[in-house]
Amino acid sequence: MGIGRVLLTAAALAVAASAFAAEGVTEIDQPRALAGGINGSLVDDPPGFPVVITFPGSYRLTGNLTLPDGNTTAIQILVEDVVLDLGGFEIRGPNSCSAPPVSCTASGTGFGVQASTADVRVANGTVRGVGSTGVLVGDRGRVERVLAIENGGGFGGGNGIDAGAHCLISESVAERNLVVGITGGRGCRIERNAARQNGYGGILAGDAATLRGNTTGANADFGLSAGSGSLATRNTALQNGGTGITVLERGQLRDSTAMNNGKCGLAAGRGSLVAGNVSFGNAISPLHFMSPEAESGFEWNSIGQGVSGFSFSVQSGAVPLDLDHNHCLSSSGCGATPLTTGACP
Amino acid sequence: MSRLPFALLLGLSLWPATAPARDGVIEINQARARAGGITPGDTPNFPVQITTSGSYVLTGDLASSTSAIEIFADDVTIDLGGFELRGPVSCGCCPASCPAPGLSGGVLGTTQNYVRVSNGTLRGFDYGVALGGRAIVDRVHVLETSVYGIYAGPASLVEDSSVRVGGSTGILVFAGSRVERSTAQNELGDGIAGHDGCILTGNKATDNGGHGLYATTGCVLEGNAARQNSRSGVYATGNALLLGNTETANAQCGAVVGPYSLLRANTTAQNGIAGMRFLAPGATTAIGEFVTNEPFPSISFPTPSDGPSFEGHSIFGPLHFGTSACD
Repeated sequence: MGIGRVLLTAAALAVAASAFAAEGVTEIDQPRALAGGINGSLVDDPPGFPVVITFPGSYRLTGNLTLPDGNTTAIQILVEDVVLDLGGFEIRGPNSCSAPPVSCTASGTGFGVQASTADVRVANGTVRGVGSTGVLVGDRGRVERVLAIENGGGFGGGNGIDAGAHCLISESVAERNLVVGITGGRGCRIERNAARQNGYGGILAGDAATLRGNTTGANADFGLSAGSGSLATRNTALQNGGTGITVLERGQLRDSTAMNNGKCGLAAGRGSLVAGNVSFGNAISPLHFMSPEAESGFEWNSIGQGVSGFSFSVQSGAVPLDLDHNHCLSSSGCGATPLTTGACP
Repeated sequence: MSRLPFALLLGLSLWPATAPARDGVIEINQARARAGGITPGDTPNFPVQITTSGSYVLTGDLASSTSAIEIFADDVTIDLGGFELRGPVSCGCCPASCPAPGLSGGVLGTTQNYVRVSNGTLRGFDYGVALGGRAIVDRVHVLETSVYGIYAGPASLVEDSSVRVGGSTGILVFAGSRVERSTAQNELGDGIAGHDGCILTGNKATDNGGHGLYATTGCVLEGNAARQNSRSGVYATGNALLLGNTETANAQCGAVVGPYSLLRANTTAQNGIAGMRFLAPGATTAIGEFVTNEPFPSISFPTPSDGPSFEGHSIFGPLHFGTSACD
């Protein structure tokens, strides 16, 4: 090892030592990001962005991070079991995105937080204007109280918050991101978030997810969409360009409101239970059953499109199995109207 | 020069000119407010002007004869640190008696988005906390405001907070916002009001001069309690979902529900005009309601044909058809 490398490593260790707060939390700010060696090694974390985290533990932003371009990632996490407290601060890139139809000025390959590893928690701050996805965490990731705004870019990236399977995403806001505001994998809980004006959809979840207490509005396409076996409850979908709330087969869509969406208010797959919802003023249908098989339940809803409109729609002649105690604003009562394939969602 | 020293020098040059507290959070207290310079452009004395995004914390009470804190940047986090902001307004109670509205605010930033305010008390301003969209107001307690206690733009979250004794609406939030586990008491206007697509959950609204809770189209109201308000306990203009709310002893109706709504397992009792009032056209479904409103009407609707579809209910008290002061 040359003398230069020794001095470099010693300096990095000094930097890293100073980065530890009293509680054992490693602090991150712009100077430390530029200095590198956040975990004590300039080899693992060279000077400049991204800050590369290679040890499990707790980290906290102590200042805003400003990225030079859309291709730069702010924080890259390479290990499991990391807690990153954004401390009320902001990771800020140069990207700026419009309201739908969303277009961005500085799309690229840079993330705000990039963690493909499991068991990473990111909380309490803002990620705004990065070139690709705002916050990416792997399986069992937790994202809480994060504002993800105007992120988006190339190579298919551009979600506000993107988490793997069995995640928890709560009390966060995603707005004007290029693709989807919030997306979680199989078995995720996505609760009490708001997603607005995103370039494709508001909230997208995989199979067996729970979506509870979210509000969505003015997204270019769907408001909320969840995979098979999911529960979507206590959500609102307002003025989205596509369908308000969708659950695929064997899901539950309950106790939600869908108003003035551009396609259907609610949509459910085969064998789903649709109960206790309010859906009015949607352009195509207040409620659409997507499967031609008659296995779905449709109970205690209050829906309508207008006196002259139809009450609910079915795809290719499907009829819900259990049709009970609904109120339908329609001249024909609660009767099914067939729709062509693909009309909703 | 090696790359590392250069980076370190660059880093040092980027330290903010203002004095940061621990963890890079900028401290605000009375002395610093008087001195000014908390952020670039902040002039001495009140209001403290926050012009840069970041994280701020109160380290002492603030007393101001004008606004206390004004925000001119997005993405600002303010931890009130358990302290109190005290302004120039004083209201009597009860009912609330406040001076003519002015423009002072405890934390004022209605044109700024993504602002978070938490953990403290504001007393005696025209506006307690007034923020733009996507705000978070958490554990904030507001007293004696001549206008709004807490005001937040679209897609905001207000939780675990309270407003007491004010001259207008206690908590007002706009489309797609949520108000959860919060309390509004002794406001001259409505206690808590939410606009389209809102979610109001687990709140208490008592002794307000208007409605306890007011919601425009497409809102979800669940597990709220409205008691002894001068108008109705809950007023939902339409397409609402009311789940498990309790409305008792309100001067007008327990719940007023607009067209094409859905109700389940709500309880109303002892309200002055009617337990539940359904606005025309009716077309509302109610399931498992418990309405005991004797001697006043239990259920009220404009004409018999406007009546809701009822299932599994327990209703005590006469029905009423015709106009209603609750409308």
